[in-house]
Amino acid sequence: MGSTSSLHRRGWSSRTVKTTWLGNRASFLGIGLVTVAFAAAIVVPALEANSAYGWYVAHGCAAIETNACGTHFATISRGHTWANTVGFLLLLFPLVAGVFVGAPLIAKELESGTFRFTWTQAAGRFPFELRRLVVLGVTVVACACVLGLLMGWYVHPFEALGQTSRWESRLFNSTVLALPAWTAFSFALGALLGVVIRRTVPAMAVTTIIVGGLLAYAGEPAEGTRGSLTTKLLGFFPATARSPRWLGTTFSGPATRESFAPRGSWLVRTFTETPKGRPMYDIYASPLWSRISREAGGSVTLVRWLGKHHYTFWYSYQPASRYWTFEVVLAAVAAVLAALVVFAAVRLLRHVG
Amino acid sequence: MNAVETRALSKRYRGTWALRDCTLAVPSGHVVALVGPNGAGKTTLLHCVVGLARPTSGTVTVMDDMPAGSEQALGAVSFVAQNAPLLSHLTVEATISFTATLNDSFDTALVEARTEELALPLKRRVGRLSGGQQTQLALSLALARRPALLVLDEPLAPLDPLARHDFMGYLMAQVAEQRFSVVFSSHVVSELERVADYLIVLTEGRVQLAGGIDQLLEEHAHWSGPAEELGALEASVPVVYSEVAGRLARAVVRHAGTEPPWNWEDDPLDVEELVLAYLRTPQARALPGPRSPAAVRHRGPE
Repeated sequence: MGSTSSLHRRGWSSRTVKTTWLGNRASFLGIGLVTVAFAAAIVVPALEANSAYGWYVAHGCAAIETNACGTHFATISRGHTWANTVGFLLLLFPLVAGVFVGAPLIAKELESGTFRFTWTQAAGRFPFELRRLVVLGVTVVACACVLGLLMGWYVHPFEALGQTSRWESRLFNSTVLALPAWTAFSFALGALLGVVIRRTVPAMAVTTIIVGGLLAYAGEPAEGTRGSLTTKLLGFFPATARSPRWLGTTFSGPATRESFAPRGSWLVRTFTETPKGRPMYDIYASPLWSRISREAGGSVTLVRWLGKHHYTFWYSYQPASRYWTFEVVLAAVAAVLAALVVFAAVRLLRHVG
Repeated sequence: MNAVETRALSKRYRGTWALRDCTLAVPSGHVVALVGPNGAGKTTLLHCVVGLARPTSGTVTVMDDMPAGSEQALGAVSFVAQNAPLLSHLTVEATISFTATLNDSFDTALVEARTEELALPLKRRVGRLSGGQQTQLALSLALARRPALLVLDEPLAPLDPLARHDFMGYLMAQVAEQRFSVVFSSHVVSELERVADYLIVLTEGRVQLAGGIDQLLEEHAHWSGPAEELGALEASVPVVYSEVAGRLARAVVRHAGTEPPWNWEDDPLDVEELVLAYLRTPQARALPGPRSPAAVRHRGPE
């Protein structure tokens, strides 16, 4: 009895890690391999892009344009598509952690009956399972952190040159904060479903459906939600359009060279207000543009024409400085949910047997 | 001190009672055989004792009032489940290491010596061992924890007769050396007399018979006599089980020191006959504690 107490006093000792390693070597090795594969897919092209970008900055290419600058710009641009692809594929990492590490963790034990061996050792069922959950959970989250850091380093040149925006969903969810947050939640949910369903393959299937659905939502639809939620908070700012394509279109997305929002910000919504104070819809934009061309006859700019005829162009945006606030909120929500799910899983273990 | 004590223990699984009102007090220092037909609730009772199952009602304590499944109880009780479920992907060596990390008082030398004696290859995966080898390994791991109470659920089932003999021999040697209590369930009634000194018969989720084997054998006997006098016999002593063949009646009685009628023969009873008599008459009860003959329910053949 005294010996049992001393085991518990030792707490998170190396023996805990050793126990988890011995019992879950396949999970450790699997997640390690996936991490290495993703890291390789990021690091190799990232070295080339960052090297070219370093040269580009060092030689003041933003201000002057030379052939060499163009060559390096082209080198960076070539990697842009692959970066977007990797950013998208990286969202599979949380899914892998949930389906292949979280879901089988306890389900397999319940299915095979080995819990009758492990839970009757001196360590006890709750400490044993909680320690496994924490050690494996920390491992997958640490791997996600590394991949998030690497991804941030990889996309920096593209973002700095305005070729992509970190606000885009695939990059927004692949940062050093969001990716581990998704991973923690997915892993915890998989473990909980394993306890509830008590069979490995069905638990993996249900985890795939739920986490896959959430990650799919975290793509384009979530951008829309983020926009509609935040528009009310921001208000609108009158501006003068630079391009006729903005006239009737409501638009959201990253602020680019063409847009009027500051670089690095997220354009939430735009619309044009008619002289009568009504929003102008897309179908009126084209006839209006024809009218502008006809009346102006090339002698007045669009800006002047709109001002003269009392049209107002409105836009709202999230400034770049709020980016990490959004990231922290996402990570905090996911971390709290993951903790609640782990708590529920451990509580449910009480009802096994 | 009681090795196992249950009070009005009941366990229900989805509307089906696996155990009903089990009250038991097994003194420590015994080798207890728990027998009963399939579905009697033996595994459920053992799972309650080791903390794997939570009672629906009632209490279970082990080794002097430790609540079953508590931190202290888990440190004092070793369990080998039916079919000895071990982590099949681990090697024998890693299994020993794994178990050692989960138990502070783990005698690695003991289990290593035993695996060598059994010629278990340390580098072989547990899943590739035979059922008998896995059971032997599981028992060795359980003993290496130096328990105060060892609980075994059908340990003999996967073993061939020779392995069964060796297994029980090794177990008894360890009991003699380490002086711990053992509770094991078994279908192999013929083996009980050699190793167990305390018997519990469980039927339909209820304890039917419990007591020291010597005492139970002393209290019971096999009487044979005229079939027409069976009714009179049943009125005078508790008859656990009876059968009639022609003009001869044979009855297993709980005589508690009473002499048989002058024209009935008194034959000794062995453990197997005693157990079978109770299993054939699920309504019969013989539990420890003070009782009057009328309190003992008994019935002859119908």
